[in-house]
Amino acid sequence: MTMRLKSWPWRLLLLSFAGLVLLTLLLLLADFAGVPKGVVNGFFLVVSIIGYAVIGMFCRTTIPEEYFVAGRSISAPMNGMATAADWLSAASFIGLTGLLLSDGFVGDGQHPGGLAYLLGWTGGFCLLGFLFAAKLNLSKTITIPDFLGRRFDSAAVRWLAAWGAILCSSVYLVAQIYGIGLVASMLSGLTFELGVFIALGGVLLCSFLGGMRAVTWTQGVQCVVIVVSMVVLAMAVSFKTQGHPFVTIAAAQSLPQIQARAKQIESDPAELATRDVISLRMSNLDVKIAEPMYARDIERQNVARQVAKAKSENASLRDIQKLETNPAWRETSVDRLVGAWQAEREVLGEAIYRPVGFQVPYLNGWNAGWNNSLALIFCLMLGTAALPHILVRSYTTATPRDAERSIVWALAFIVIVYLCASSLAVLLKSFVLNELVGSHLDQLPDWADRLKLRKLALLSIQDYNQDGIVQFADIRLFSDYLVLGVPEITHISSVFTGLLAAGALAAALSTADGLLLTISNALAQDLYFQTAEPNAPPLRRVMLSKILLMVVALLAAWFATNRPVSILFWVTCAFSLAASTFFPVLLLGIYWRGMNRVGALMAMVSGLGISAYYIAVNHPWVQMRLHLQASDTVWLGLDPVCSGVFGVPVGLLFGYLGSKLSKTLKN
Amino acid sequence: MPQPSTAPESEAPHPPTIDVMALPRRALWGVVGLVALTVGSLGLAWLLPDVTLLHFLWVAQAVPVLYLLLAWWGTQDTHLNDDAS
Repeated sequence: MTMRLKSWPWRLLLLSFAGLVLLTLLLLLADFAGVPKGVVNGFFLVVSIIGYAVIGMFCRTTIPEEYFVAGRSISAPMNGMATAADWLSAASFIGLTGLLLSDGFVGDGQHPGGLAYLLGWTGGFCLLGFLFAAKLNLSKTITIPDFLGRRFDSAAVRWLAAWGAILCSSVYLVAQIYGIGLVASMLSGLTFELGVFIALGGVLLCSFLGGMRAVTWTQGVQCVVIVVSMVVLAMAVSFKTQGHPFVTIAAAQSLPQIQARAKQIESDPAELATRDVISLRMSNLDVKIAEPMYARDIERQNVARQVAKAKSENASLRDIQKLETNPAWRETSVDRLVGAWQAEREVLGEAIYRPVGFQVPYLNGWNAGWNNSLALIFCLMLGTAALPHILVRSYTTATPRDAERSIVWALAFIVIVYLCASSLAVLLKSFVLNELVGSHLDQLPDWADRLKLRKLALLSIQDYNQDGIVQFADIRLFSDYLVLGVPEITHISSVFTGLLAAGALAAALSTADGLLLTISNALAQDLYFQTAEPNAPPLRRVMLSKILLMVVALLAAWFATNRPVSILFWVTCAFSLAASTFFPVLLLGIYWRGMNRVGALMAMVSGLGISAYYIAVNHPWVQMRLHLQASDTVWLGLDPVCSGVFGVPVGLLFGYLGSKLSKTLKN
Repeated sequence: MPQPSTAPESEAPHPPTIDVMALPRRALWGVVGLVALTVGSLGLAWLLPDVTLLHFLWVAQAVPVLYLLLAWWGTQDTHLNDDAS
């Protein structure tokens, strides 16, 4: 079977490429023929999931070497494709374009811009290739905790590393499953919850039956889908806007005109008036947050008067219900009310601080945004090089050299996607500034109306200065998944919506596959069998891994469907946690002979502890519960997602000190 | 503290310990190049905050391609590969 598999990887990939092109052409014809969009998009969803599940079933195995590390026989290009798909998550595939569009290139002077994500996510692969890939492959272990356990000859190190891997991967997994639910429900028109569980069926069929072997082949095909969908979409938008398919050139051609329009908007009196209104509202909210009880009473009296007046004037039920949505009227708990006001303030702040073009004007001199940019790049690079589900892909090639080459291949595919994503952000900005800003509220562009009214709204507009005209500050773009609205914004065929969503689904599914395998293998191999049944037969190991995989998937799905998740926030946190937990111990463990098990334990505990503490203590929910102020808990003005900046140095320091001190005490 | 277990059947071929090794020179220079390229590019973007075309063409488009070239260069001919083969 293995020999047969080796002979057809490129045939499989070519077949998937040809199938995707054929499917797109057929659905384009169906679209021109007037087939409803829901049917066209739903077809992409069904065909994608069935395709991945069929590959999973075809690659099913119970052989441990195949299940855990794909037989260590994957070629460098194929492993590179699988690594790229594993790494290109919902956040990076769906989110990067929206992030660059909304936050600009270099940020707003407080927060990092989109370039920090772009550089961090690509540069991390250089570190992975230089420092870890070949060494992990050479070790012939099967998980990262297994590698660390053997390096330090310590079950405790393996046990702790397993919990670290489970924590980092779980945070990442919930965000991915949330992304899967968004895309699946958008494509199919089903509810979010049903979308999650249907798409999860595809993930489970693939990873449950065939483990790493099935996941590798599926991810290879998913890489084709991701790259093709992004490149085709970018070329189509480029053709539509500039008349040629070269997206980088099209974006460069559009930029001067975007800059001129941005300057015009920034100095428009109506825009300035809108910003003044928003600033005033923010000041009012500050007063309310400072005196919540008093403000709640006043606000409730106001709402009660308005509701009574509306009822006396026989206002519609909808108008009355709208008045009653005021948080001061709705919320019974003061904590929740303050939370609602803080959330409203955050949205208002985003409206006036985000750049109109791609940078905030007059952003000269060193500022907190640049600190945050550098810190974020540091965390994303080191996190990419230390994410357990990416590191395990180094085990699946035959030789260390192939492991290194596969990293280069992976980076090549990721770079292609990101070049398109950043160019798309520029082209989309042109549509927002030229078509939406300045339009009348009752004569919005058709795409704006559609994006507003969708079940999954990608856009909202609030006329703050009540002049009936859309100003830039009135617009709120939901950047996490705005890219899914590209075909509508740019007036290209709705088939591209299906194609793009198929790419997004592939990105989320492939990452979820890798994460599920990492978590279930850590639970089964590194925790259960290591301590409870060290001599268990291979078949039993595989079966327990499969069962745990299903349990973890269902738990993550339940969690994702119960809580709204900010995909980008949690994914970035996962990078910081992974960097803090694994980077110091891997770096010192591989390259410093003096590192011992005490140092390894201290490096992991201190790095993970500091990083998790910084994220937790700055989370709005924790701050509200513990009555903390952000000014007291933020260090050096850095965002919580940059917690790796503290975790990594502390991990390195404690790793060094722990090793030296334990050696001294022993002597 | 739990004691290290004996290797189970499925893990039998694994080496009992993992050797510490030196960082290949090319990889070391690769890391230096990565830091220099990243900080230099961002520094350029921050020195010229209004030149958006530079941000786009250099930082968003050229630097990721340079990372790819750097990754390719830095992973060539390491002594580890020779040992393994």
